[in-house]
Amino acid sequence: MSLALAEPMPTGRTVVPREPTSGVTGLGIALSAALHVVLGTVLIIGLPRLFDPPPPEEMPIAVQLVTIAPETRATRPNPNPRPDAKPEIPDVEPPVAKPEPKPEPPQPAPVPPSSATAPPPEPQRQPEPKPEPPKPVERVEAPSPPPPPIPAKPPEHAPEPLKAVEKPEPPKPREKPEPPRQMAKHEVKPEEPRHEPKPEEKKYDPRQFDALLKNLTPQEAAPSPDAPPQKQRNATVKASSQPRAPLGGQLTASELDMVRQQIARCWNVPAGARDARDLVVEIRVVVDPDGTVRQATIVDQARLGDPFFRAAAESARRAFFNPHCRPLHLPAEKYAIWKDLVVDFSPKDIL
Amino acid sequence: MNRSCRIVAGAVAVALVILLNTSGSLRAELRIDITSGKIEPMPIALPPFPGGAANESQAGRDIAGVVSADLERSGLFRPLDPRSFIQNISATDAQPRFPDWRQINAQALVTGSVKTQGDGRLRVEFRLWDVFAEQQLTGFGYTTTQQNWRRIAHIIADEIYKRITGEEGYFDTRIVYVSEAGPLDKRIKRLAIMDQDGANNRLLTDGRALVLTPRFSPTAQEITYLSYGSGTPRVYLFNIDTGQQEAVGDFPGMTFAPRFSPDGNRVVLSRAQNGVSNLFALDLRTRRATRLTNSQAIDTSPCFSPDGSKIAFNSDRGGSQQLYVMSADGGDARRISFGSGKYGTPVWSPRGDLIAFTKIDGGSFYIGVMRPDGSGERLLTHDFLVEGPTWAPNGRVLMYYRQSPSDSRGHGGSTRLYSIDLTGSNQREVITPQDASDPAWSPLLR
Repeated sequence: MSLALAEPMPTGRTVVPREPTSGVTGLGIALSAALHVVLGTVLIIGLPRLFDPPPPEEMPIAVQLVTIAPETRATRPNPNPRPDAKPEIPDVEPPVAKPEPKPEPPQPAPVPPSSATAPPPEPQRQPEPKPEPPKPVERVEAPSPPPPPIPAKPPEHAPEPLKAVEKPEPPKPREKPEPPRQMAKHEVKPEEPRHEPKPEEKKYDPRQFDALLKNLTPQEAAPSPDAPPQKQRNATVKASSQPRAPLGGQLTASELDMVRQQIARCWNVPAGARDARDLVVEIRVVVDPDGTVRQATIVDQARLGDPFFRAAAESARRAFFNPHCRPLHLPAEKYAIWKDLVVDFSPKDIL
Repeated sequence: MNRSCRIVAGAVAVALVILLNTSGSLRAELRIDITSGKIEPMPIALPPFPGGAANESQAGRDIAGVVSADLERSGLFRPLDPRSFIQNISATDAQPRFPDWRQINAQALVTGSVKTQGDGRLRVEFRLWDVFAEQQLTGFGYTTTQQNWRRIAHIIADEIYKRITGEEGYFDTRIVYVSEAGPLDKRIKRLAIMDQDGANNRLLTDGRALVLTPRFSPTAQEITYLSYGSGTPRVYLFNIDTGQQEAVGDFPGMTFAPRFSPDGNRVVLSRAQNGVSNLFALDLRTRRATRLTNSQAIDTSPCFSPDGSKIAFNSDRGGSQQLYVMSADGGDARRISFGSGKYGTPVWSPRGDLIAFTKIDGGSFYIGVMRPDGSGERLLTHDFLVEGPTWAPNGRVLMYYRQSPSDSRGHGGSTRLYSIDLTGSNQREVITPQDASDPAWSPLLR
């Protein structure tokens, strides 16, 4: 209100000063008019240029476009896979599992090596569990029957299941090495939309981080258990916001952050295990151009004899086969940078 | 100048070469650190184990059901609703259709089969599959009598737990406890034993003598406990298989709070005499007792460390009841609890990394854990009365009992068993036919 009243007041007074200025020559008026016109045109032309710079600033935001691209691609395959989903099932099996095992002979996971290695360990273990069942029989019910089953069980069981498993898997990979990629895309993509709904993320983070290592005493708890959960969130934020410049190559911070968060969402941390904080697992990953992980190899094969490490390593490796991480969200135009990845999993910020 | 220029130029050239090389190698191998993840139960599918005959199919359903319940109670697995299963596993399936299981978001799958052998016994096989990697993780076969199917189910659950977590399971175990019945002022307390999941419950004593604090032998189907059988409270041994009972040692005065040594050859206990309590170790083979403490205070609740080198106990020698750790021969006692309130019944984890205890503070009871040096105290649960923590053999789960308050007319005061995992977030009631207290977890049966 006060402003509205103030404005009319000066206008009335300004009329008076104009009269003396009007005494100036017409040239002056013409010049000033011309100058105003020039200034006006300059301003009009100049302003757009001034506004132009901001768009280039927005250009870097084009990262979003990059990320959108894979998603939109993902939607394309969706329609196809749904109708084909059931019929593809038989074909699908070979592509996903087979490509991985072939290239990675060292991995325990790959079918050929695992099948070869797996049979021996199982028969060895079998003797142990077998005595268990007989024991109950002996102690609880009948002592005589248990002994015979023990010897018979190991030979029978071990060879049969293992062979059955081995046979189907090895032949399939050989038959269709390349097509699997496409198949994988179709499979994965239909699943993503279902899983990606954010409710899951929300569920996991708050609940589990808070629930982990619950402590009823705020005072005593504060030093050890309560502190970690808070650090966890901070730590994750820091980790994500700080790109590892030297190692990240040409991936931008946001690109790294995105894939890092995606993998973290797929990784079920082996919580509660003894010394779980120290179980750092290194996984070497080969990625197809569409972002689908083709191979995921546990680097430190020598430690797989340790059941704790093996459990942790397999949980890390499993992350890359989680439908939420197939495909990985990586910029397609930078495939040369991320086709070979080494991913370190360490639960130190959580546990 | 020339020299320095050349040196600089050379350094720049070397740096460029190094840069080019490293950038090349970086391009070949991008490295990403993942330091956070999710902590959630693993989705696992456990379709019924198929069998040919009707009794086989029934056993297959029952076994899958018990395995599923075991894994679910651990809090580490989330068995999926069988109604969501797409593939109907049949006995002839050599390999599952993994996409069907990925479709319902199963990360692990357990298949199995049940057959009746010529001698009438059951042959049960199972395989654990990694659904994402499409590979078998483990698989075993067992043969047993038809009535013993539940035991097989627990053994299978242990194998699955072990393969996925890397740690031993605890499902093929039993719980001995004190079963309570009758009004509070005329309570009948009997020794009882059941499977870890509450099945196969049976009473071991007839209730004529009051019994308290049963403890499992770590090596045999034997229990040590406190009984008022002969009028004076005495520590007894009870053989579960034979039902035989015998008093331990020949002490003057009252003995209580017994616990086995890790090798099962000794029992540590308290002896009360002249208003003070001291700790003794009794060799079960020679029946010779060794005095461990000689204080003018109340020393009680002794418990060996799993390596047998130390003993934790509680004592009021410092004025209030606190936890202490000493060497197994009784020397070098050191206080480890320094929080507010009183601490009691220390129980060393079978893994050795923690000591569970009961704490009374501000009129409330707590069950908590701390490291053997007294650091890292963490309270897991509290209530009007919670007592008697006992560890699962793998050191990841505790069982204890909880008593509700009673009114002046003797109503209320019900006593029930509960289990809680080390995270403190997975607490479950263990269902017993009657009121129950003083649980003691057995080692794996094997």
